Amino acid sequence: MKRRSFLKGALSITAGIGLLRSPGSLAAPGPADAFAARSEESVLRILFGDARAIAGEAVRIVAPIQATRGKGTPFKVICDLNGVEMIAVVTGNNRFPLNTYVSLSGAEGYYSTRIRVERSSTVTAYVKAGGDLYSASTHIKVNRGGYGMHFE
Amino acid sequence: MPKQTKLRIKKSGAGVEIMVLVTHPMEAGSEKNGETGQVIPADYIEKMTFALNGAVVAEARMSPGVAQDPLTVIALRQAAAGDRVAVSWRDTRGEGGTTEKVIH
Repeated sequence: MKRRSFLKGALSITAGIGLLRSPGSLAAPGPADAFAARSEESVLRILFGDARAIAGEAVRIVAPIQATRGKGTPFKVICDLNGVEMIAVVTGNNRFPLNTYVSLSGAEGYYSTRIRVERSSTVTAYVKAGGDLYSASTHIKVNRGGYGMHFE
Repeated sequence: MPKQTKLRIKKSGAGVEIMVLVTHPMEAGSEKNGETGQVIPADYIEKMTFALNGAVVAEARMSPGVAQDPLTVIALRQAAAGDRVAVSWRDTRGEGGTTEKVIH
């Protein structure tokens, strides 16, 4: 009996180690990795692999040109292409550039949210549609609050 | 403050807009309380799922890069009166909310 339970224990420990190791070594990077990334390049690599974004008219952004730090800044992305699979919002100068993304499986190429912009930055919407990656950018100036005169 | 979920369905052009407002602090876990100096623990929505008649049509992932009390909007073109829209979300504390509405 003792020997059996010992073996069982050993087996489950081995299985446990296997499970613990798999996320780092085998599994593809997930949402947590994308949000933890510190640069726009690594965010893009995790979300879209090696795809190069085509900047142009396909993606439209509706957002203000200035914002108050930490306060919600309305940010709307519209893309009329067929088969939009994903829309991501990336603020280059934020400590963690990826604000949010949405995976679409039946909804239109449309995503509206309220983002935090920590300091003046280019904010880019990346849209994956029909296997290609499209983008559009806008610049948002951030002030420290008050009267909108103290840009950072 | 309780985390409330409000769902509004607005007609727009040929389809509808699904608007979700959640009362939520979206705390990053890096801010300090001004009076006590203690770090305010992380508390933000990680995932919000939208379903039409039981089938997932959109899944949003969020971070503290989304501001507090987030208003999230997606659009559905193939939605008609009588269709059921359901939205649910979950945050880093394991709390969540679910709400649903029939389009009319």
